[in-house]
Amino acid sequence: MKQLRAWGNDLMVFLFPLETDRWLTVLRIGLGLQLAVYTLFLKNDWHYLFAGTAKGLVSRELGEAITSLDSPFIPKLGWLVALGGHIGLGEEMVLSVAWAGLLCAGCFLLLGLFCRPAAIIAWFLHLCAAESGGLLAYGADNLMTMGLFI
Amino acid sequence: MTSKRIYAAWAGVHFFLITVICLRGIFALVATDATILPSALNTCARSGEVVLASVLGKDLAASNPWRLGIATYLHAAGSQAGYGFFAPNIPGYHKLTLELYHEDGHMEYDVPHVQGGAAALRLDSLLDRLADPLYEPLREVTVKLLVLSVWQEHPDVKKIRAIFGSVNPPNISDFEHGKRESFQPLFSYDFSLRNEENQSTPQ
Repeated sequence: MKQLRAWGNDLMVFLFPLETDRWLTVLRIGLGLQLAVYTLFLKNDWHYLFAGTAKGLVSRELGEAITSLDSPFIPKLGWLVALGGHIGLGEEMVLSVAWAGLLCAGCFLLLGLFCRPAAIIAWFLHLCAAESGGLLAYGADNLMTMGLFI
Repeated sequence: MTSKRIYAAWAGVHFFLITVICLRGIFALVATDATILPSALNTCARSGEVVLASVLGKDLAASNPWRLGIATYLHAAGSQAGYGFFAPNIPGYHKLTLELYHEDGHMEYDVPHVQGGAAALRLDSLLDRLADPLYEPLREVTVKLLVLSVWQEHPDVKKIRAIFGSVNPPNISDFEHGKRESFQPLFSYDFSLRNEENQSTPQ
C-alpha cells in the first residue's frame, strides 16, 4: 500500500512539476500566429468553402452531415447559422462574424489579451469550421484543434 | 490535491483514447496489407482493429450515449483520427476535369477553382480523398456539388461531363526522354443540367 502511494506521489510530481509557464506563452503565441495566418489565408475563399448548398464549392451541409454520422453533438458552423437565423442574421453575415471572431481570437492570443476567453472562442470557432469543412479539412486542422484544445 | 487527481485521471483517459485511435489506425493499415509486415499478420490485425473499435463504442448503436460521448470528445480534442498525416508519404495527385457542353454546340474544359492557395490545397485534399474506395458512397454527390459550383459560372451550359482521374508523373528516365505526366481516368459522370437529369457512368 505504501509502495502504491509512493508511486502515486511520484506520478503527481512527474505530471505537475514545479517549473515556469514559459512553454504556455510559447504555445499561446504560436497558436495565435497560426490562427491569424489560417484566417487571413482563407479570407477570399471563406464564404465559398463554408456556404450552404448551391452557394459554395461543396455544400457545408454535406460536411456537417458526414460529421453528424459520428455524433450530432460535434460543434458545426450550421449551429451558428441557425442561431443567427433566429436573431435575423443571414448565413453570409454569420460566416463573416465567425471569420472575424476567429481572426480577433488569434490576434488576442498573439498579443496576450483576454487569453482564456480568446482561447475558448478560438477553439470553438475553429472546431466548427474544421468539422463543417468535412471533406475539405485535412491534417493541419486536426493539429490546430489539438493545440487549441490544450 | 483533488483537482490534481482529476487532471491526472483526465490525462490518463485522454492518452488511453489517443493510444487506441493510433493502434486502430496502425492495425487498419496492416490488415489492408499497406505495410512491409508479412500478410500472415493481416487476420490478427483485423481482429485487433475490431477489438479497438469496440473500445471506442463503434459496435454500439449510433444513438448510444457512450459512443456519442467518446466521438464528441475525440472530435473536440482533434484526436478522432490517427497521426497518419505526419507520415512521410507523398500522396497521389488527382484531377477533376469538366467538359462543358454549351447550348450552341461548342465544348470547353474547366476545373473547379478557388481563389487562394490555402483553399486550393483543401480542394486537392478533397480530390485525393475521392479516389479512396472508402469515400465511394460520397463520390457522386460530391462531384455533383463541384459541378454545380462551376455551372453557376456558366449558366448557358447544357451538359457537363465530369472526368475524375489520377495524374501519373513520368519516372526519371521517361522524363529525360521528354515524357510528361499522364492522366488516367478513373470514373466519369454526365450531368444534364437543364432538365435536371443526371446519369452516372463510373468506369
